Amino acid sequence: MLTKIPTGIAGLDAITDGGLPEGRTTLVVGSAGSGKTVLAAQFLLHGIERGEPALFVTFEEEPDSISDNLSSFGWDMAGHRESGALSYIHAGAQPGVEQVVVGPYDFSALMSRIESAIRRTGVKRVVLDSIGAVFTDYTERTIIRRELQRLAHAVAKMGVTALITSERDEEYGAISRFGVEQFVADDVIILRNVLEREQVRRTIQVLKFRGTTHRKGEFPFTISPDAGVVVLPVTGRTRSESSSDERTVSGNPVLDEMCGGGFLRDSVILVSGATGTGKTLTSTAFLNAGAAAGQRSLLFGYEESREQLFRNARGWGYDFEALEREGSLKVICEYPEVQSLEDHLLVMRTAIHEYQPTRVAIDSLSALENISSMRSFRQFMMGITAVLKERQITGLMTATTPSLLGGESITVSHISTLTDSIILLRYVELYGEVKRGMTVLKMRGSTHEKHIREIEIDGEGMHILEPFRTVEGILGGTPLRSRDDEQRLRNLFNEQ
Amino acid sequence: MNPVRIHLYLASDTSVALRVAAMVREMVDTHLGGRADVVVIDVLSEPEKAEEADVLATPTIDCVLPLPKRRLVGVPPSVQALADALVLTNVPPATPAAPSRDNA
Repeated sequence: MLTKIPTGIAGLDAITDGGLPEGRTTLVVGSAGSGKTVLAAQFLLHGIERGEPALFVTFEEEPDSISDNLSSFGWDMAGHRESGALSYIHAGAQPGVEQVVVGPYDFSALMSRIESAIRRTGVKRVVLDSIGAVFTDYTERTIIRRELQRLAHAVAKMGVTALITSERDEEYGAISRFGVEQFVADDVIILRNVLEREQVRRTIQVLKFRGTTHRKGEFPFTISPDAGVVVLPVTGRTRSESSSDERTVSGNPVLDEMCGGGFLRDSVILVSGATGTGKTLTSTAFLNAGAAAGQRSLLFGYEESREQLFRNARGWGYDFEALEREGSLKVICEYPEVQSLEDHLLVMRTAIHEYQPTRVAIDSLSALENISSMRSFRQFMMGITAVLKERQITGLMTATTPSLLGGESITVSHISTLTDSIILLRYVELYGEVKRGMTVLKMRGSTHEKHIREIEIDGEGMHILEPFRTVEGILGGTPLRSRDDEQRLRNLFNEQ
Repeated sequence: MNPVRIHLYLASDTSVALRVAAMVREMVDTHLGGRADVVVIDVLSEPEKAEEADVLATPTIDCVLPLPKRRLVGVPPSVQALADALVLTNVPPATPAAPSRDNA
């Protein structure tokens, strides 16, 4: 069985099923600015942390400038270099020297330099960054291909795990410039950097790992200022593992009843409705119930400011200031537009790791959906759901429907399969009056009430009343009064 | 001290290395009147010297003096081609100028 060595990059070890194949050469390709060097440096630094000496062979930048650039992540490359844990080889042309190729050659000198550096400190991890630069100083492609192949082979024979980076020109074109992948590596990882809806979206994909497993497809990642590359894995596994029957209060006793005794503890609940139907109130009540019971509750607000949210809560009789002071509630408000969805996910993940909440509310998903493409929104949803499931957190998310009376929002239709429960809030026009209605549309793993109930909102929060008995078509947005005799019949039975 | 100094980076005593070394020596004799120092560096036993000079390929022929430094990579097709590529053909054979150069 082939062993893998961890890269130490959060998420990448998950999608590679353990890291890079040990003793082999992995090629990391990506366009300019896609994060190749950062990823490569992290791979080395993780080795150094584990006491494995590392070698950084740079074909372009000077070692000093690499150290400088990476120090912005808080990485002490220069310090590791001094301590001897990290060696550098500058494999660029000598500055200011004119070079002319007059005949056939090989790269024995470079190979000898690398081998000697590996032997000198007992190097276990090597990075060659970025190999495409060789092709600018040396133009004989057949020679270079043969020599790079020989180099990769020599490194592998020394029992060292190598990571080679190379440029590519298009995000969805040839794998790498000069076809490097065809001769240096059995294992290829692609980094992409795509502009989508005016937001930079980064993804990572393991294209191939010869003879060993990895997860397929593109996974979003970000480059965080203090952690470097962070891959946000979509864990499909936790879904089946988490199926607790434990119940937790929703914040409204009648809603608990409608859900068959409360929300399921590790479930994700979607609350969907038009503006003003009580979504924020539902999430406020949900958080308050948790916090009041001493469970840590975390709110991510993307529609309103902290002040506004606190004022709303106060208006319904909930004291968020006090709860936050006690430490049982944390409110994080951000403008959706300040960063990409991947970055939002990273912020949420970090906050969840740090605060360790029992319940999390997101108000609203629609605000986040507006800044992203469908694909990245779906990936975001899978990412955040995975984070919540992993930690068995009860999650409540709100989504705004565009039309006032009924209709399905885009958000809902895209993520309904990812959520365990769906609660709909609707306006209902009845006898010339606008009323509000609520129903539990779906609840995975539990029975639930099927009625559409009337709700009222006042200074004490939400009151869930009796089911509407004389109207149909509420969900479709065109309520009709039931025919009279039918209504009379129903009333006979219901009002017993 | 000779006006020309050549550093020759080779991979041990391969046939290619021997051939290139012979070509360089011949060029020094035929084109430079023997007035050049040639230093042969075996990159396999002295990788640190290749390191210092940023040498990747073998053979690498560095003309260190006179300045500016020039670098040739590969096995030259002929001694003449080697001399041409180093642009040294006119330097030492201009004998009248040589003494003053030496004095300077």
